[in-house]
Amino acid sequence: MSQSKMSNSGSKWRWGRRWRSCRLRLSSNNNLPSLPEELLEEILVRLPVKSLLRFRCVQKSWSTLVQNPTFIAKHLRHHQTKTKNPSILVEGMDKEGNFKYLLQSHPDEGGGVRIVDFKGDSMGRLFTLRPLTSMFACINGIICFSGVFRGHYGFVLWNPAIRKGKVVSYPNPPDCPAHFVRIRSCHAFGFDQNSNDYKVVRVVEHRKKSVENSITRYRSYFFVYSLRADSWTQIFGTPVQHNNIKLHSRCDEIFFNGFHHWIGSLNSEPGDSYDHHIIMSFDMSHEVFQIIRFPDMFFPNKTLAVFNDCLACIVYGINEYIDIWVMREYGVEDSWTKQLVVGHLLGIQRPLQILGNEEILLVDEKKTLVLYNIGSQEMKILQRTGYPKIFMPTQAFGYVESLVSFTGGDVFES
Amino acid sequence: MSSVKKVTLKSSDGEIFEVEETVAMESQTIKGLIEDDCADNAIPLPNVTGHILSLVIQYCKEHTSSSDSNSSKSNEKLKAWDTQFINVDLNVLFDLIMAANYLNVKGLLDLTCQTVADMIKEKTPEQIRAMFNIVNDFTPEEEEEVRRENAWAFEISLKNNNVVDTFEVEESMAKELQTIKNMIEDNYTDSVIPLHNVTSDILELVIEDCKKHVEAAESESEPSYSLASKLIDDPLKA
Repeated sequence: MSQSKMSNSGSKWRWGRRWRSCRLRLSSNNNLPSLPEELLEEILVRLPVKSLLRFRCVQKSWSTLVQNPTFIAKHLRHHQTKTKNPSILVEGMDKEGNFKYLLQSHPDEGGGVRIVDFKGDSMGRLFTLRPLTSMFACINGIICFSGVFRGHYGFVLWNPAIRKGKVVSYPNPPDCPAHFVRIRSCHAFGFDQNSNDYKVVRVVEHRKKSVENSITRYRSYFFVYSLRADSWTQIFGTPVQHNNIKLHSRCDEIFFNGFHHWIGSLNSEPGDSYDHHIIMSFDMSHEVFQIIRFPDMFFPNKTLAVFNDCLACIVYGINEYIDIWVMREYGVEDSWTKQLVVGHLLGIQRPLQILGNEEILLVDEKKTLVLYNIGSQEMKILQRTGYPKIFMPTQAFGYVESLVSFTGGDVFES
Repeated sequence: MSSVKKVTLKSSDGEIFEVEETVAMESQTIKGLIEDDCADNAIPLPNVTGHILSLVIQYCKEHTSSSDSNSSKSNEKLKAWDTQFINVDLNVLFDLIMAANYLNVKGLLDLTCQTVADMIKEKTPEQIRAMFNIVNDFTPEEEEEVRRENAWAFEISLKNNNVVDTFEVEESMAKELQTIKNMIEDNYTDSVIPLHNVTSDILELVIEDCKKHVEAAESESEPSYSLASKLIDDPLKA
């Protein structure tokens, strides 16, 4: 400290000569009133992640606070509700079928694109292969995707804001039941708000063709991973076993209200064809499956979404209009209501996600990502400068930074 | 003439304020007292000085009238008013935070805390300690450990005059530049150091050169500042 005092008094003339054109900010003060801890916390909760990580070394209590789960949850909640224009995390495919990822700031905040290059950084080097039907999800600022890492087939939880992640291997596949053949696995990433835990569900599907008639039977095994316990458990006795449900591919899913939802096909009577679409939900907290039905008029195409704090279904494909249906009361099948008709939208191939309550992310006929504002009816092309030349968007999420961190097992830095 | 209900507020230093009830009710604390019928006489507010209380009342007035259906105050106008209102000394800002908390005026607490957050987000830990009167209770080894865990969060940005390019360099390299070195060691800068006289291509060259000097210095015993400072003088004259 004394050293800087010396240079302070000796260099005044030098400052006059050199600093005139440089901007200076003196931090003289010290007549400032002392803020009590809970008010300091009110200020800290409003800071971006990078600043908070830097301020960890201010004093020990701040370092502890930044790692405290209650503070982390408060910080996340504040930024999720106050961020009017969230960034958008986009997954897409190039012409070789390789997945590419980008993080794009909202068009109202500049729309700058940052390629999230998993192959380029240290984490990318772990990561060698991603099957086409594997998982990619983003909740509370954590990105979760599956692939092959260091020879193990599993998934990664990655928080780009703190540049830390964790690799988890899938458990060994169970023995195939007699006369069945293993076809594929589905996964889901979710958050259990009751225990403040992040979970991953793994569904391993098997299929058997019956000899007498040509009904195909399905049987699945279910496993749940808990981040807190850092371990897998197997779940038994689900409706899927009894009802012969086939889950659809990854794009017809959404996490909402502590539940993960898949669209699936239900065949409960022999002789039925697989035409009845249902929602299969998984309660992250109680680890239970449930079936929710759709009204029959949801035809032909559906995308699950969240709208006005309700589970929603975007129905499209007949004409140039998009119907947004909402399940007003969660779990009550009678409460499906047509909330909104959006249109007249020309050249739309597929809706991806609803952002906030005002905007819809869509892929148009030219396989370009666009953002449609329901209120102003304005269509903004997101896929512009910064995107790779050949890029077909497959999934998109709103993204807000968080402080959530990982411990135990295979933790890495990126 | 309709009579508007008023309440009387008394600050810690004895100043009396007569305020419309609807305005005073922006404070949930005062609202509670009114609803409990404790507001017949002047309400004493021992934690708020007259100066601060007058500011809080100003805020409440502006925000009450905006929720009035007859008012034509748009969101943008209100935001502009807020920006103007919050342009006060740091002392006053801190006092306002405490008053907004004590009087439970949610909008004002949000505005003041967000303003301070925006003010400090680019600062260094040393500046934070100075600002909030915090004593560093880490040992140098402990602090080094914490810094290393998130080293990337400490990178300093150098901006050129047109705020077009920002370069993030490690503190050790920036210290190669004597001028910036002094600013850093005296704790007199924010994390972003604007260099008005240097364009980005020259800045790039300087940084490149400094990198080499730092690497060379790590293998030699004496750092070669002379070459670096020579380079400084040239572009600064440009």
